[in-house]
Amino acid sequence: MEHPWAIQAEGLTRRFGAHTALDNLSFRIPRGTIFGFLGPNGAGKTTTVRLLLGLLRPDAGWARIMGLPVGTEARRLVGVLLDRDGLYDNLSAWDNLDFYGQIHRLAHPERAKRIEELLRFSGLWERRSELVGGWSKGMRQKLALARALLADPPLLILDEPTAGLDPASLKMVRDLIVSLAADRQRTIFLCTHNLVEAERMCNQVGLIRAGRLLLQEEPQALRLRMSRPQVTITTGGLSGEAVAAVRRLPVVQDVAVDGADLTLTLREPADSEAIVATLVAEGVGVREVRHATRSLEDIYLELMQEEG
Amino acid sequence: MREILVVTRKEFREQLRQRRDVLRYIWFAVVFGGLFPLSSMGQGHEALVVGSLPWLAYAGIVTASGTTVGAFFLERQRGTLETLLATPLSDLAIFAGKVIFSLFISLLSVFAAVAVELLAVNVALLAAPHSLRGASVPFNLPPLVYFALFVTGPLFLVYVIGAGTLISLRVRSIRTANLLGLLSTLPLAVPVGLVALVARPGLNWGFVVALTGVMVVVDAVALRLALGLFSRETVVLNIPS
Repeated sequence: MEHPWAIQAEGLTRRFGAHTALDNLSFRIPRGTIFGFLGPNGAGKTTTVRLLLGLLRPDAGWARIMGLPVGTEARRLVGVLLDRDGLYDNLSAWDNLDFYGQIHRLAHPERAKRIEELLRFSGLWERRSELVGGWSKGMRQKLALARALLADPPLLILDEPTAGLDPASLKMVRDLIVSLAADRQRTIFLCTHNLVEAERMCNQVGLIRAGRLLLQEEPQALRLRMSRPQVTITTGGLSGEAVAAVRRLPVVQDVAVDGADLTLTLREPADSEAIVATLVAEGVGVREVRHATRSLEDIYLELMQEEG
Repeated sequence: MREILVVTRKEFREQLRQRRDVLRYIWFAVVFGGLFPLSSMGQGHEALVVGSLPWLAYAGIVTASGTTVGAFFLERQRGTLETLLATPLSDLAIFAGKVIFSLFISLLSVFAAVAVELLAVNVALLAAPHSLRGASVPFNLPPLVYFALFVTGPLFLVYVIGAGTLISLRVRSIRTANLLGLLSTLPLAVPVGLVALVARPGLNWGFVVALTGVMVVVDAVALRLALGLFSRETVVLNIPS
């Protein structure tokens, strides 16, 4: 039976001298999840990745990949794209992939087929014999991603995989990541600063700051939990009486007026019908009602400020 | 073993693309195999044979120092080593793959230097038959020299590679790595010098075999230290900028 968790980490702690880079970090990521690992620079993202890959040893705690303790066997199940692409400048695109194919023990005909498939998919097939030393950041990033996918691993650990990509490549990579998780049950551990990308792609996000995991949640649930519901109503013109009447409604917590716009913060998610009816009863013409939701970026910034 | 060879093959592929390095190794062969031995031809056959031995060995030593820095330091600096360490390859496979590559290239350098010396001396003898007292065409080196170069010699090279690895895993600049790498070869001048001085005018088997034994111990220590230091954690925590 397949292990249900792609990654399990329990009490991971790592110190560098007096500095605690990771402080009792615990999380579980189910298979088939795109997990966005978010946090400011120096929060502990890279240290976490290094501990998961066995590049560093924890001072306390443990981690498992697909149920296996971190180590050689676990690394067979992981495709990696680190913050530096790790490509050999003096090897061609083909040779770079061929080397990693050999490391992952792909037999020759299968290896060549897989390399061709990935190079064609990345749009790099025509340039397969070129040394990658002179390539642009975007081309290198695509090749490094192809390398991570080479052995078709069940877990991908990707650090900023879309950095440096043009819009078309960006879309290609995002679609690929989503389809790998949705169609093929691959798990993606995605370190990113791009909150829009995280919101769009991830089933779960984890926020880390100063080595501590602040939360792990679905982006939508997080938005609902962290957002006080807001309604913005554009009117034909507001009177003081109308504003006062709305303010008296039990569901309304706060009212902000900006010209003919009325922004209401509600105590709980509520239908706007009663509010609109109150305004209409006060003789106000209602032109538009918008329910506002906070973005992941708003929540991230608020959390980071609170913690700071 | 298969994993070690995968790493060694990759190192060769990379090396072949670096023409400047290849030219440098050819230059070492010309200088150490041709120019230096030719300069001592006037002293006679025996002196040439004994005198050229350190130079031929040194062609391998400077090559070993350069290839080791390239295989370990530059890969650390470029960030390729961290990605490599994130694969299922064992530390030992990565380390041994690189050591075998450095050793092979260095031995190739010694071979080239010997070939250059044989060619240069034979050409000189053909042009001026009495230029090397006690020798005639075809000129060849005695078996003991080949033993010293290709049995004892690799033990010197292993020391250089072990020391170069230790240095390459610690320092933070390529200049320091190259400088310390070359400095670490200086202690080898002591046993090499002893071979030249004590055994002159003729090399003897006893001395070369004893030297071989000493170098086996030195190598064991150097490699043990280098392998002990070559861990994923050491490499990751010391990535040079």
